[in-house]
Amino acid sequence: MAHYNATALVLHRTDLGENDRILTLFTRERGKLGVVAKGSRKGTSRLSGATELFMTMRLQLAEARSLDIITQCEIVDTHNPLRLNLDLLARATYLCELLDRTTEERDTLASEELFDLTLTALTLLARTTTYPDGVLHAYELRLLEAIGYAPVLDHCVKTGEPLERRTVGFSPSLGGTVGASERYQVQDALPLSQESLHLMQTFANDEPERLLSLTPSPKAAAEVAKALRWYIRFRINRSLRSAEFLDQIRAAG
Amino acid sequence: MFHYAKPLAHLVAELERLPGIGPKSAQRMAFHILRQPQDEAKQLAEAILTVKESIRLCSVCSNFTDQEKCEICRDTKRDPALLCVVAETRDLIAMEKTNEFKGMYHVLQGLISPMDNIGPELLKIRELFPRVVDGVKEVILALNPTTEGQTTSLFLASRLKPLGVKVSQIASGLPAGGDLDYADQATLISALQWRREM
Repeated sequence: MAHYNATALVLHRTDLGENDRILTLFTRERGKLGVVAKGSRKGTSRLSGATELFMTMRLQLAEARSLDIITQCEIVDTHNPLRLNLDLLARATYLCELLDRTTEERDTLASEELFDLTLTALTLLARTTTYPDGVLHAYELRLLEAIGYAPVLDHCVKTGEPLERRTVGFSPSLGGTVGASERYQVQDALPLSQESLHLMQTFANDEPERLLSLTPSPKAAAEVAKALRWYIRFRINRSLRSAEFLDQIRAAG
Repeated sequence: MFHYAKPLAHLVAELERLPGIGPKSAQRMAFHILRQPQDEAKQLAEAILTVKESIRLCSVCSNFTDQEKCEICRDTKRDPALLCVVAETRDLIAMEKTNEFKGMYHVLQGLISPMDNIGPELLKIRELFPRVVDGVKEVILALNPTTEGQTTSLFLASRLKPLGVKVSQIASGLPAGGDLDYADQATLISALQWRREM
């Protein structure tokens, strides 16, 4: 049985039999993997704590016929602050589901970039105080870019013309912004004010640290959230379950 | 190619639908039932039917019971000011085995798990609030120390605290008889967070 090492993040887990769990991991080296954590449901198992959602760990795995098996494990980061706050926990769960739903197993094309991006997002999320959704939206845009679905944000996707300095449109089906004069002719175009457009461009291009100091107006924050939600839904052809829970938490907060 | 006789194949197929039972285990169980005396097999079949027909959720705490109210909710010696929230009936049984808790229970019948499409609306959370405003002084959240358990605990705390009730969570950390050297980082962090003054 061949062994290999990997740095991994837990995206999902399901119980298997009496004592085991099947984990969906995102590894830096091999992309998304389904693996078995044998005995991890026993309270005395060294793997029990490591199989929690968004745990980051160094692993040794044994190749098996269907699912590889964890043979050794060392936790690198528990992301503990995220587990103490419902707002952050709901957002971190969303990040994990988004990564899970947008990647294929053992696709290593952008695995390093996606792994580092997710780890940065989780770390920043734990440090946010004013606008945690900023980290979420920056992650969404950068993940979409890494998998080849980055929306156009600097010109009209319909005409190719530069965007006017007023409220423009954002069309999920056309893949980005449409000019102010075009937006009423595009069926699914959502309004995007100058502030919202600038915010999205900041999410897509600025240094991650800058996200921590953003304080957008509620209107812009809502426009960006809606545009990205619909764009992702259009691209992955489904709605994310954790997004609905996140909406409940936002509504109550 | 030879196949099992129809009734036997049917039993194997039904047993295979049970959680954690694969084709081999199902066959083993089916052959065991086949070799059992008639009355033992009948007892098993009757037990399955009886449990389906008579067991329902307690109208107060959502525990499984064969009456309108479960045994614990009918017990007048228990302290109604203390309410322990657990995820499953088997967690309630585990708590009862300690002989330490003399309050009442509320069984959620699951934990919030957004990725598995289990939201708060699918659990017995709505039924909890009328009980809390009705004389409960402390709600003890005794949910698994997992991400799902923690999500549910935080969700409940955020909804219960505005009602003016004390909300506490059971401690988590090293198991009794455990070994520090063998504990993982997550467990040790938890043990440190929940440390107490001596």
